[in-house]
Amino acid sequence: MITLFAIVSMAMPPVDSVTFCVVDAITRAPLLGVHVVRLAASRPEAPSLAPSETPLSTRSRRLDSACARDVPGEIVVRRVGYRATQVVLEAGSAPLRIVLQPLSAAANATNAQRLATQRVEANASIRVPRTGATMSADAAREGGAATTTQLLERLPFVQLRSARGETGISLRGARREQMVVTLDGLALNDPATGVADVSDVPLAALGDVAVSLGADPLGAGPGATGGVVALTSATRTLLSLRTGSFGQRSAEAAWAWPMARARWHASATHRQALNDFSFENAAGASGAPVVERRVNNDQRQTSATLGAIGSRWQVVALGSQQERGMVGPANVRTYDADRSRAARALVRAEVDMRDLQLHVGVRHFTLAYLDPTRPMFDSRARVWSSDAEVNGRRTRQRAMVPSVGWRAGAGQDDLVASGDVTQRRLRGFAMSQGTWHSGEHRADLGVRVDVIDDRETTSVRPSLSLAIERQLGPDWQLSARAAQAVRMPTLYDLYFASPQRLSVRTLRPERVSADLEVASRWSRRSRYGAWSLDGALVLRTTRDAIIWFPGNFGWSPSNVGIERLRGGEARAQFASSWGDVSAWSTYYDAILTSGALTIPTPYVARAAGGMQAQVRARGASTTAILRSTGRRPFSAGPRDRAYELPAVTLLDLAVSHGLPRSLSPSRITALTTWSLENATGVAWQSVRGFPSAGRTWSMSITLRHTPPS
Amino acid sequence: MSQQVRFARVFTFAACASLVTVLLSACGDDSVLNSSPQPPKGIVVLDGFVQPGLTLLADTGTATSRIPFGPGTEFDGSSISLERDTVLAVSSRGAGDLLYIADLRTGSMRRLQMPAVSNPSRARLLRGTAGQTLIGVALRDSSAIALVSVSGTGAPSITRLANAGVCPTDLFQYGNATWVVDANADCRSTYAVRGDVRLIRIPFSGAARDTLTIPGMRGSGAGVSVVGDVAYVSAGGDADFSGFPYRVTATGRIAKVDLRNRVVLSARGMPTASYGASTAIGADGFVYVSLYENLTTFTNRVMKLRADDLTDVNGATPWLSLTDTNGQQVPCGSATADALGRVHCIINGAASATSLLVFDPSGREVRRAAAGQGGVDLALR
Repeated sequence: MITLFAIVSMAMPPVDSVTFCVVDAITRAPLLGVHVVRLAASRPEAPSLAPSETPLSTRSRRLDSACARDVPGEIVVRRVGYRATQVVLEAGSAPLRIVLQPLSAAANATNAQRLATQRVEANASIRVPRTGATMSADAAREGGAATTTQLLERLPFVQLRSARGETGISLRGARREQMVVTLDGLALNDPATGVADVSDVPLAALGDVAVSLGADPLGAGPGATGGVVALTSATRTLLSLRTGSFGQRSAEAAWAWPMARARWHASATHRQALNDFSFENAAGASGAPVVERRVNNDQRQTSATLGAIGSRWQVVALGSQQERGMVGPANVRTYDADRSRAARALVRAEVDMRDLQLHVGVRHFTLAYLDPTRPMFDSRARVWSSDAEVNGRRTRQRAMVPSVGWRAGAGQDDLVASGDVTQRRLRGFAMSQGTWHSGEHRADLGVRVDVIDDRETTSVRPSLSLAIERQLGPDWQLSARAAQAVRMPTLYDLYFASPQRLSVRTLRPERVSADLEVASRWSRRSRYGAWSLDGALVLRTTRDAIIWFPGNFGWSPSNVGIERLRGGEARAQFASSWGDVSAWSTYYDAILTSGALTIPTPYVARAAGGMQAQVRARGASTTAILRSTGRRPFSAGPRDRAYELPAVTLLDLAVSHGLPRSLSPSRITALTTWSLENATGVAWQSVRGFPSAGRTWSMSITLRHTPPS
Repeated sequence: MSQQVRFARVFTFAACASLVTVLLSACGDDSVLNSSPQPPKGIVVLDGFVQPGLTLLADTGTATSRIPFGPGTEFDGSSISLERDTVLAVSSRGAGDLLYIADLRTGSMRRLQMPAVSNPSRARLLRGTAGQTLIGVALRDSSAIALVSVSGTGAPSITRLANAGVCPTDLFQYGNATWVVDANADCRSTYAVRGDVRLIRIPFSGAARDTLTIPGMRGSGAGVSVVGDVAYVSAGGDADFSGFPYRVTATGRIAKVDLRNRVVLSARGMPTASYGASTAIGADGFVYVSLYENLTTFTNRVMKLRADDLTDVNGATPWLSLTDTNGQQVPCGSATADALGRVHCIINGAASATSLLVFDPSGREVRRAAAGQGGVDLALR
């Protein structure tokens, strides 16, 4: 791997050049694999190519990074999955941000507004302050993150729940299964459980993560009732080693290279930890709480990715395998020997064909639960899931005529599990969306119809989405959004919904009948930096919520009552060349009403907040992250302080610094990061009964190859 | 009449009146002045999941109070024992092997750690000595009985009675021995039934074990209720849950055992295709059995049996006819009755909301009150 870093050199840019960066219109994520075509009439000279860039012809080239320099003139910027755009590079202009609209019909103007409440990522290498909704993996690494889970922890508004090493995400008071997590557009949610565990996705394979709050029926489809976390794969070259407390060890590498008119990228990660931290066991009954050490809490993960980006096609594949001890709740010893082994493989490809875009994806999940003391309880489940989708778009030709996009797709989920359990489900959908843009107003209206056939029943579920945005002056935007969404019962839901097991009981999809949001954003850029204030008020009503209440004979889910969430979100941020500061807070009142019962949604705190500050100077940075969560219920019963986890505030600290130039090879940047998580050593639980580690430390060194541009 | 004689008469009358008053007071509820059946002092519902704990209700009204046990990760019990205002419950190996002791008078709760992975089944209040409370806990995976001695808030002392059967699930004291209900099932793993349920007698001293097998009685959840010299032992039966439709291989069964002579006086099986046989002795003297009508619909049913010969009180159908105010049949579980013959039971509705139902002796619903969430058992004070 070291040899990868040896072959580098740098081409000096022309003196009269223009810097531009290409970003996604929705996520504001920097886009890699972009092709730039210079229009012949405006081409005064050959484009300046970095040595690693690939000249596709005399007029076009492929960029190795999201930002590049070029001489003034007119260019066309193209990337697979996005609408090509024509841009004029003017001499002497400031760094230019080129925004590409995804070809997906779900791309709409107000999605960007929703995402505007996310973190500003002031990446010095890009030089263009971004007011998007993303956090780059590089910035997260600089802030002490070494895994995708830790990256997600650093995002505002994200609540993570982890009990036995797996990670569940909650956004806007949603339950874990109401979230959709995608990698390059392909959902990572396990069709069997509905939950997306991203702990096995290598951080080295990621470029950016974008968080979108609220229902997204058009983009993500069924299941995205609480929000969407979109992971984007990266094309970079790096090597990172990490060690830390409680046996944490990890090594990850990523490699990007041009080949066969495409940009290829691969990554591999191995991570292991004993996680044998000590904790105070207050669940015991020996009088006073006693200090114990966690056992059977180790984990070992290996994962790899491979991908390629061509001018009109893209493919990404992920394979992972992990084994972990299935430690039980504190004080429960019967799980002290239990293990779980999980494997995941997925492949996603997309191709541009004139005005159409074709996506295909295949996912495979296996899960084995092993109980050495009672082998007869060993269980295994295997899920295959396949998807195909085609989309197109008609751009408006006249004023007041909307641009119309459409998508249609189909898929299938198959599950085979111990006990001769087999399940199959066919899925299909079609959607269309129109987008209007007139002066200071933008609006989009879309409808999506999902058809689900699970052999017993066929259901047709339409969903609507409407969004309006108005620009109130140069700094202020106001938007409103209304959406519906549906979440189909997962195969796991259906399996346990019936005591007969093989005879699926009628379990209706849960339905977000209204997800309403009013949001405002103010932003201003000054010579000191970029300021922004965001705020949103939300109201979400879900009927037929699928809740896992223990039933009469077995533990089974059922459609229960009305779930209503009211609340608001706010965020303030400041970003400059020397650092950035941001603070966010949420207030949610998420209540399920069923008959005479009024039940707060478990694990949703009424109040939560966070603050993040990063200061950079002389190649070093210091990051402090404060996360605070209020009291949150841990049972599906009426609000009762006896059944609530206490409020908790956690402080994470990280210091990163680069190695001196004299010690770094050319084009190689070396970053050393020292981090302290839960620096104040607070004893807390994210899931009742499962203690978290107290203060932990880690140290990592990352060598990164910076492409010339 | 002299003053002395008058004084003697008054003194004698007063003394006799006082004596009668004292005697009547000493008789308490059994007195001739209080011989009519009384309603229960209170009703205790065990909420076994969602928010485990006890929900306490009065004989009338809708007011409730709670004694929380903790989260579901620390309690998974499905039954309680109520004696002398003390409620005992346990959590199994899947929820930390804990013994819960609740004092209904003070509303307090204490829990004690049982041996790890011992898989407690049921706890009973036993005869203690020197002011100490003695509690017996059946440890399924240890084939033993834990004798827990508790005094105040001090640390408990735990001794074990070993060799208490394959899977001890319940116990009681009678005579000079501890009697154990052995479900005779593989409780350490699959709970598969190995053979008939047994009563194992463990004398207070010595290592001897006397075994009384109850022919035809099978089930991993065997229990017992004791009235005087008689024990009513019951087990829920056996079934094959490996494939659908579930198949009952042995229905539940109840047996009446003469403890003095150590013989089975009578026994009877539950109706064909039914599953379960959770037994309670009502304060009206009848035996109430709660069970599922079948393993397809899992409809809760209640049977009312005569205590002397275990025959059905009902004639045409074995099930007790319990109807709501609209005349509709009500499936109900964990049934028992008060001294007035009113059947008390619980049902779990939407979101596992529990309701206490009370039926008059004719089976007509006379009371419905919210009783927490996730109800699994019921006891009358």
